[in-house]
Amino acid sequence: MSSYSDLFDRNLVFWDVNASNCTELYQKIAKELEKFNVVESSYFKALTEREKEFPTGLNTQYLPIALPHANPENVKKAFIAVVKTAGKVKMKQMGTNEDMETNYFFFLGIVKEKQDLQVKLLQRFMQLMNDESFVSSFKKLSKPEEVYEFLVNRF
Amino acid sequence: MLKIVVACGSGIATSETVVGTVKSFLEDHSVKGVDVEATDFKQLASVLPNYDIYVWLAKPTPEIHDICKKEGIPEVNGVDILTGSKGDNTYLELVNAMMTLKNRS
Repeated sequence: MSSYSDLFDRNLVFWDVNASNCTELYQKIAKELEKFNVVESSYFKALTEREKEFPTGLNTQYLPIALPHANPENVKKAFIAVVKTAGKVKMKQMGTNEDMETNYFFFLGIVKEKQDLQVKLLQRFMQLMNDESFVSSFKKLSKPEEVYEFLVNRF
Repeated sequence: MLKIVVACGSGIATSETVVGTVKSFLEDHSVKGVDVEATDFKQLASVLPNYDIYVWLAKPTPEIHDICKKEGIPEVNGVDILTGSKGDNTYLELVNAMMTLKNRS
């Protein structure tokens, strides 16, 4: 286990979430994050506005994902929330704003004090996304508890 | 000193990540004398003329394209560098941009 594992939280893994679009999903997740006291009440608005202006969808080699995040002032405590939606959600791609679809979302709660560690984690995460066996094992996970254990052990 | 700027929406997450990735890449290939920095999109237009290469993670606006054209700053796709999804070709655009500048000077 590495220091990254502290950033994952077994309460912040949400699997097979029903959401017909990005806003609905963000609303649901923001509510959960507020419940666990890791974000400010401004988070949902900040998150959706940022996604509209600067989309976070990424077509990685083996899996399309999104990395929604809001500016640090909307985040109380550093976190990563790992989310799989029941159906595919339409998103836009980072950099090109082209259309894409995904089931997998990694909500990054970034705070200034932990930024360096979180950036290293994101680098490590991107490396893992290029590892075919990591991605195929990850896709097979069906319970939040399994997802948490898997990520904590692999990071 | 060659200066590279990486710009995403807020300059906190993905741009910093790409800065780290590019720095490691340059170190691995013993490339020295390159500064790599992150910025947010709001500041980009004002700081861009101070740099030699622009790596984008947020879609460049026409204003940004104009500055790059006027100043002769090559634009490099940073999303490929972030995801590393192009394998061996991930850094091709960046290396090409660096070579163009080298040939120019």
